[in-house]
Amino acid sequence: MKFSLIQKIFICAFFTLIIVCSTYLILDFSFFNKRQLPEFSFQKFLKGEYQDSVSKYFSENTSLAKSATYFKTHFDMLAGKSFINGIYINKSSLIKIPKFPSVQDIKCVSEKINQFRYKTKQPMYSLIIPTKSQINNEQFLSYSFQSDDLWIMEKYNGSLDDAIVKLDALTPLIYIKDMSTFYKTDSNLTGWGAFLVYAHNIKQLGSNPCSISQFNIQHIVSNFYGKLFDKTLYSDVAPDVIDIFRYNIYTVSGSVNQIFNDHSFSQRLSLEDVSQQQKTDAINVVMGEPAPIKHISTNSKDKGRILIFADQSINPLIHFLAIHYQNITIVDLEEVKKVDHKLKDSIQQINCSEYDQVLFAYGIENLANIEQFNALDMFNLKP
Amino acid sequence: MEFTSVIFLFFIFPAFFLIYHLIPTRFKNFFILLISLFIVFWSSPVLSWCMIFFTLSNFILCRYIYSSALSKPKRNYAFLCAIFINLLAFALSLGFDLNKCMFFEQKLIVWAMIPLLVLSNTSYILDVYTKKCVPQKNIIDYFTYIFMFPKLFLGPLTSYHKIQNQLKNRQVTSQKIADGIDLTIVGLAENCILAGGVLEIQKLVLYQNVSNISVFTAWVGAVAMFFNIYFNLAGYANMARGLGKMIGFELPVNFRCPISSNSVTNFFERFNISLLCFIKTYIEGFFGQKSKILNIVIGGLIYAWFFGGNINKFIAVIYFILILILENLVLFKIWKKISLVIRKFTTFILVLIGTVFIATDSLWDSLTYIGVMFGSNGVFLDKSTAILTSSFISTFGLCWVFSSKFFQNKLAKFQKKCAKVYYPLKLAIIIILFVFSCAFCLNN
Repeated sequence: MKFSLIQKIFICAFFTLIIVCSTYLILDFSFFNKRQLPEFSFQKFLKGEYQDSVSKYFSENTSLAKSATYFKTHFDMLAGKSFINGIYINKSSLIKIPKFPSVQDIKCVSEKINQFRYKTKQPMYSLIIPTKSQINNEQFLSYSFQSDDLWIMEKYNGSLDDAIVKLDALTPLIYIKDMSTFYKTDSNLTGWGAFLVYAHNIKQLGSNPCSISQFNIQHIVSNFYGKLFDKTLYSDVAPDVIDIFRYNIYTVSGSVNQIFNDHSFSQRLSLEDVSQQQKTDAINVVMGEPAPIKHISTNSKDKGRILIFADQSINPLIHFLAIHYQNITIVDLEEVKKVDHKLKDSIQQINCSEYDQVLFAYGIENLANIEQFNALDMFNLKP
Repeated sequence: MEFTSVIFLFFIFPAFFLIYHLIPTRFKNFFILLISLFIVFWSSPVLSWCMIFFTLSNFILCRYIYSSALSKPKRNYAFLCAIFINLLAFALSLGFDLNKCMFFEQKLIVWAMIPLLVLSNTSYILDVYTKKCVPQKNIIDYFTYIFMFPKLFLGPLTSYHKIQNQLKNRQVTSQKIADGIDLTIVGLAENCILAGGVLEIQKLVLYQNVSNISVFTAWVGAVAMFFNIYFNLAGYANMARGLGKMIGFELPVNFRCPISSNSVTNFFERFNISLLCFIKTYIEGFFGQKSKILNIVIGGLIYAWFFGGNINKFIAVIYFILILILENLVLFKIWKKISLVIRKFTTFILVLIGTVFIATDSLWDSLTYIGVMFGSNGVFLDKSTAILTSSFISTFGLCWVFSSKFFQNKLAKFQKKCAKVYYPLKLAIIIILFVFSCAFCLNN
């Protein structure tokens, strides 16, 4: 009798726990945050994309999931782990363990870029942003995984056409040995890191670099926790500050026209997007939220025009490039890929021959994402 | 939809369980089928239609196969037709697109599901053809057997003749429900805490340029690969048995501490037991014991297909077949002279090498990795080894404890000593384990 009573208590406890969790998830989902499930479409359902997005939504956006992340991180740390959810936790910084592209990926990407180069004949440049783990490697005595950035850069640059000028982001970042070149809680370059890369490379792009004294630094977000923090919720790391470097010789003003995945169009009158401050991903304040195409017009005294194929890692650099180029077009191939061929018209309006220079700028990890480079075939390459 | 997904754990499962125990007995199988089909549709809508069509064809054909009114050749034709339909389903599971006549990349969840569905169908056809059982008259019961959701993802493979009685008569007691919850939570913990923990190590090792890592790091990575595969499979199997128990089904045990094996042959007797039983019952039963090589080859192919079906899996199977043959011809004689500890250790090393083939993406990657394991880059130890080991020693310790006999023996001894405290204590620990598993599961 007593035995069966214990069993019944156990069964009740189990189901009470499950029901409490599911009720909390539903309340959290519908009442507290007024969120909506991802939009249903039959085509997406058949491909399995809808199911994936619903699962992802529940596991990423609910506060129960966040509590779980917090709990797991602290439990793992108690168990002596310093690698949690693919992030190396150091008291002063979080470092993502990068997944590097394979040799085959590198060959594939460089081949696509080479083909593009043969068709356009415009002066072409390539810039690879190294990973935070490579740059901070020496700073953390305990973190000693082999970072393969150098090896990958050699392979990548070696397989690119000789006519493509290879810019170098690794040397200035490693040479300066400064922890503040990357955000502590994010994998992206800070304004300072971007300045170092800019100052080292702008001569190769045909302009003279501005010195650091020609900039005023404005703290635009003072309590920023990046994506690496979201993955661990490790609160012992201090928040970051997002800085914008403002040219103080004359005011560089610019307007940004963004074309989004659904063909919608937005315009703002400054490079940074202050409205992003209050959103989940505050780093978007630097250059606005991701969009397939961004056209930037500036009041630069140099009348250069540059077409940039890049991922989000290039964003802080744009503020410096805006001093030297009157027209900058940024194409995010990953965003273009997401909408398949729906933006073909907008993309074909970009005539590569109208630009003085073409720059391919990618974070090392993004070279593994080879499918995005297929979108290069959509471009108007008539001379 | 996996059993470890938030949607299943917190919405589908409690709703299913509550409604299941409220509805009348005659609707229970239909309700299981309904939920199972929903899970299958959610996982892969297009392939689900194909699987329903194949299952329906098998159901109809098997009625013909058993019919006494038909002549033997006609029965054989019906049997061959049913086998051919299953081969089509097999091709689909390998990712064969009928429209484009080419193979496409399958989602992992589909890999986990379709072999089970196809082999369950095959089991039914062979049981009916060899007259081990009469064909099922009720289509809902038959579909329930094929699509039953507890065993849908890598769960233990069950022969039709062993489960047919449970489709009609099964009892659910509070003892069974408590045991079911116990097994489900243990499975969930194996999947989320242990397999998830070692997956992190595996990623850390494989994300690096493999040719740069040290020998010891490579071995640590290989052990992580093995535990990841083992706890994923064992976790799903335990969850399947637990969920089955909660609705009255008794599904067979699928893993019995394979880490304690003293030979590779012994390893396969403990690893995915239900698949080995299937191969022994149907393949050996069908082709006879004389054609041993054919049995091994077909059995090996089924193993490879069951675990993913790409070229690397087939190479792993060839590797294991060679070792099994070598063991039976030569090694067993040597084994007898060697101490048990060395035999267990050697078996584990041989299994680890096979695991590398399963866990890596291409043959080149596997060979490079195995090369590094045996010192091809000349670095035995480096800093990363020390950090990996110190950071994950607790995870490895837990993995070893829960995969070896050690823990089970200790638990049995404790149960004998403190019988009164044992059960309530165990249930309390299980509830705590559930909270931990959910946290890890939500985080993953």
